[in-house]
Formats: sequence, structure tokens, C-alpha cells
Amino acid sequence: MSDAAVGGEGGQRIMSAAAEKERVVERATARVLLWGGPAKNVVHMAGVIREVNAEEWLAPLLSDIHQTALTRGLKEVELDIRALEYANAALWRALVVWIKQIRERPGTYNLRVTWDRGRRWQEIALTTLRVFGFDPKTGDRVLIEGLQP
Amino acid sequence: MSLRFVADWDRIELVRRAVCDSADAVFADECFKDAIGMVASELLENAVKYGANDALVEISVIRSLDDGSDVVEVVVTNEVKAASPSVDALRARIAWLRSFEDPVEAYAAALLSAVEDGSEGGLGLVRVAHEGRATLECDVSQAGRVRVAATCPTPPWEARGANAS
Repeated sequence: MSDAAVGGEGGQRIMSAAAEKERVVERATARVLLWGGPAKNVVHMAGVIREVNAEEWLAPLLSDIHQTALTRGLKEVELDIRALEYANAALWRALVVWIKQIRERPGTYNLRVTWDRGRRWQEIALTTLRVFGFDPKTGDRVLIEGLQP
Repeated sequence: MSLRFVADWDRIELVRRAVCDSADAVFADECFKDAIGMVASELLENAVKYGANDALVEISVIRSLDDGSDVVEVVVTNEVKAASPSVDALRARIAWLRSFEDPVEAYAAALLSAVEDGSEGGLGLVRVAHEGRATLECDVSQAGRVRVAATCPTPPWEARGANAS
């Protein structure tokens, strides 16, 4: 992801965006790395999301990501789930809520979800999720992209 | 394979992996392996979440070649508390699923419901039908044991998804 992922004008905004520090959230067998990548706009999910009430930590986390993306004026947030071995239904419920939040803020950032071409379960679920990101006025707010692991 | 264990959330992931490995050994198909593991996991999650505490949960994963068909049947059986509303909810969810011609429509409707009215239950079963391509049925014995069966076609599966034409 290039600096083009960051909104605003000139280098000051980019420097501000770069000031966002990476941090890691770990819950049971899941690991989430926040604000990775050159433009500090990538969220990596890894491991297995399987707790009985995973939404209790996932929903606030995704909401926090959403608020941070708005504050930073990002044009795109990338959610990389390639290293996610398995997730129960809680992840998809939490993601669709996030997508709804994005749609409620027209003209802000888009969500790009990258999935592992070797894990078709990710693709099957994401194909449906993408529908929730379609805005008739502005087009797709959610893009999905299959990549190598 | 057939396993019986005390209802315990932490054991579900171990069983899911065992089911995945078994499917991999038989079919050597990554997509199917993941799908059948998901089916087992989601059915077990329901059994542990809505079943009687500390009761036994049983799972069997059997390939059936009867009547010219080739399917894998994942069956989860568990005990429920007397007069538990979860049995009626389970039956209603399966009936609701059958009202859709294509499980993907049920999946989208379930996700929409999760957003609009905060509904949390039932998405796992919808995943089983959509991602696992499974036909679901359930029955309850007089002894209060619930049996949920998911019958999945064996691979190869035709391409389906974002990159499918």
C-alpha cells in the first residue's frame, strides 16, 4: 500500500499517518496486528477465532479501527486475513457491522480485504460480505482480493 | 470417525482439526477439508452453547456411498435441558433455511438480520448450509437428546465464489 492510501494534502498528513504505531491485540488463539504496512493502514488477522463470545472483543476492536481510520482521513483500510486459519461466525457478524459503519460514512475510506487463495472458505464468506459494501451512488466500498499466502 | 466427549468449548477446536485431518486423508481437497471442519465446528458450538452443562456430546463423520450417492454426513448429538427453547429455535432455523432456494440468500439474510436487529443466533447453521453445501435435519429423542445431521456432497466441488465465472 502506498502513501496514496492516506487522504489529505502534502507530506504533513502522511507523516501524521505514519505516526500511528503498530500494535498487537491477542485473544486466545487469535492475533491481530493493527496499522502495519508502509502506509500504516493494514490490519492483519492471524490464528483461529473461536471463542464463545468473540464479538465481545472483536466488535469494539473493529469499531476502534473504524474511528481511527476516520480520524486519520484514510482512503483505504486493508484487512489481511490470509493468516487466519479459521474463524467462527462471530467474525462475519462483526465484519458486516463494520461494513455498515463504513457505508454510513460516504466519501470516507474503503475496505480492502485480502484473502489467501489457498483458503477457499475465506473467499466464500467474503463474496457475500462484499454485497453489504455496495453503495449505489459510489460503487463498492468493500473490495476483496485473493493473494498468495 | 466417531468421538464422544464432555461438552467443553475448548475441545471443539481440537475436534475440528481432527475432522480436517481425516477429510484431508480421504479426499486431499483443501476446500472440502476446510468446509467439513467448519461444519463440525459450527454444529459442536451449538451443541455446547445450547446443550446441557457437562453432558456428553457425540460427533460422527461418516462417508456414505449408499444408493449411488457419495456424501459425508456430520452428525452431532447432545443432551438438552428439559423444555429448552433452543430445540424449537433449532427446528425453526432449519425450516427457515429450507425456505430459500439458494443457501447464499439465507446467508445474506442472516447477516443483514445480525446488523439490523442485532440477531446473534443461527448464523452458524447458515454457514453450514452455504459454505458446507450441506442439507440439514434434526430430531429429538424422548430422552431429550438432540441429533443434528449435516449431509455434504463430496469433492470435487464446482468453483463458486468471487473468482468463479
